[in-house]
Amino acid sequence: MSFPHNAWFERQRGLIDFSVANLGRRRGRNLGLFLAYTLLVFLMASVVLYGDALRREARLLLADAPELVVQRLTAGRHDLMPQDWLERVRGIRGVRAAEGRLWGYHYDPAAQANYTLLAPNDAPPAPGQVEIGAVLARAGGLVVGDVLSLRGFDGKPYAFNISRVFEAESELVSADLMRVNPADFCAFFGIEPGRYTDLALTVSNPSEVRKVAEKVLNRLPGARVIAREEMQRTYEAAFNWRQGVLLTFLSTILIAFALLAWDKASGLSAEERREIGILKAVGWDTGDVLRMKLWEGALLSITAFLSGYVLAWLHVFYADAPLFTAVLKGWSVLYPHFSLAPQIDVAQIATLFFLTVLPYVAATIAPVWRAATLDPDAVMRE
Amino acid sequence: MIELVQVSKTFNAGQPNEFTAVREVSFGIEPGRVTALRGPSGSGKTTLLGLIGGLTRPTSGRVRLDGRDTSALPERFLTELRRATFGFVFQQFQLIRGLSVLENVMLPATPTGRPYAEVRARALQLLADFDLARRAEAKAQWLSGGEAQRVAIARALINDPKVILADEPTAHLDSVLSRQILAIFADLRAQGRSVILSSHDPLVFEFGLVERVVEIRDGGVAA
Repeated sequence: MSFPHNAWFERQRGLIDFSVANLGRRRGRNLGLFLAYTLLVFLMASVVLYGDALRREARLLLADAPELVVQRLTAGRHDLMPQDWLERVRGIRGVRAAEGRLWGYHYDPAAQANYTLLAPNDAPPAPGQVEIGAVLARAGGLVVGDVLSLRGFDGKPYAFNISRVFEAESELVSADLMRVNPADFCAFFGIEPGRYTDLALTVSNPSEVRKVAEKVLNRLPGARVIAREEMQRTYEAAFNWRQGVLLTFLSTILIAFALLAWDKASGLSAEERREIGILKAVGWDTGDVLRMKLWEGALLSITAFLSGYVLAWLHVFYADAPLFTAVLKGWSVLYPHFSLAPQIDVAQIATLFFLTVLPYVAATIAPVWRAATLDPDAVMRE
Repeated sequence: MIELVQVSKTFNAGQPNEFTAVREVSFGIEPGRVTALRGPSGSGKTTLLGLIGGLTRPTSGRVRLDGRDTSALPERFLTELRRATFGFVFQQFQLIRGLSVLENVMLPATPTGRPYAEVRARALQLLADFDLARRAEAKAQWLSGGEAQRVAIARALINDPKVILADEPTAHLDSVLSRQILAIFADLRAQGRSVILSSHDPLVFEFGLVERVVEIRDGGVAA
């Protein structure tokens, strides 16, 4: 050929031109395939993006959690922690800091929701005041300055003044959170002052966490020690399980799509067979026909893949994933409303790509190869 | 020079529907002339054109092009040779529906890798030569029979082949259109190309274009 440098590109350009024209010629069929394909990628990518973003969020939140949490078990049941346990763990070598925490769940029959009450040691609200999560505020139509009344351990109402509503960024776990003064907490739940729900330990050397946990168990028989890594695993397991449920549901859609794609892409109509015959008769070889069909499949599937992925990305990071909220996030009846940090993961895109684009392209190529290897003289004998 | 030596073609060999379309045919075709394969329907003319043009391989025998045996070439080389040497005009026109006239004409040039602009310019020139310039963007299925036949000839010429193979080129045309098409073939002959056509239409033979007639009957050359 007289154009050795451009010949390959010109050839591919010609094949792409023809592929685009081909897609346009069977507009109805290809549009149907494109929409089904985009929907599938959208759903799969939404679940994967959402699950990953939630796990990342949980990891970030837990990064600030104490390395070890010590609980007291009485006959296997969680029990309140006496003051002297705090002193005893403080004396353990390797423990940099230890603090007693006060927190507990409260069921509010009026809202039919569980709240998590917490009495922070650092900068607690003033007595009689409460700081609440944004979801809780939204659900109850509460604003700063309102009075929130809850029924305490003795059945009497306890009134709290709302002094602050939490920022949205921390909604994943603070959706149902209420922060109160430690004295109020003890009065509300009927707990003797000087007792704690559990102890939070900070360890000087992270590689000694396991060793310190052993020492705690030796010194405090009947204690239960939970490492931060275990909490992380619990979160991950919960999100993985939820994601698994959704993916199982989606797999039925995947199978339906596979059948549709196989039917539409792999079955060559008599018209298509005739056209492949014409192309071969006018001088295309088997490889040219395959390359053209490869381009056609690739153009359709890559466009659908990108559309589905971008829609999923917008759905998850900008629209707060309304389709999956009920299944994938929140721990209680109150659902958090928050935006996940936008993220692009190349490995994740590659996995989705290989799961959706490659099988489709492969499905289109096999029958074309069969048709394209036939003698082109069939065209003459029609 | 094209030579056929003891060429036979059997379809569906070994099957209950096996049939032999061409048996032990031998003849040569000189370059730069108009040669017609004449015979009734089913006599094997179309199969012979396919064998000459490398669209199909003989079951036995040899097809030679300028002394080179084309029947044993691997597909890729045979396709390249076919693309560079032969332009086909099929009986049913065989244009691709949904594509424009221009796109149809440019199709055989796609695998050559020639620059797009050059191929497009050549296609437009051919369409202008055949008085089809204003139909360049029309879809193939909108064309009349005469227009479709001229587009098919333009497509056959896009790679500038030395040999034009035309299968029953007047079969679907009235007398006026048939003469127009034959005049185009006369022009191609005048340009130095070989034209090999199959026909049993008396008009083709009365036109004074055909320089040599090969009579075909029952898959063989009639004496």
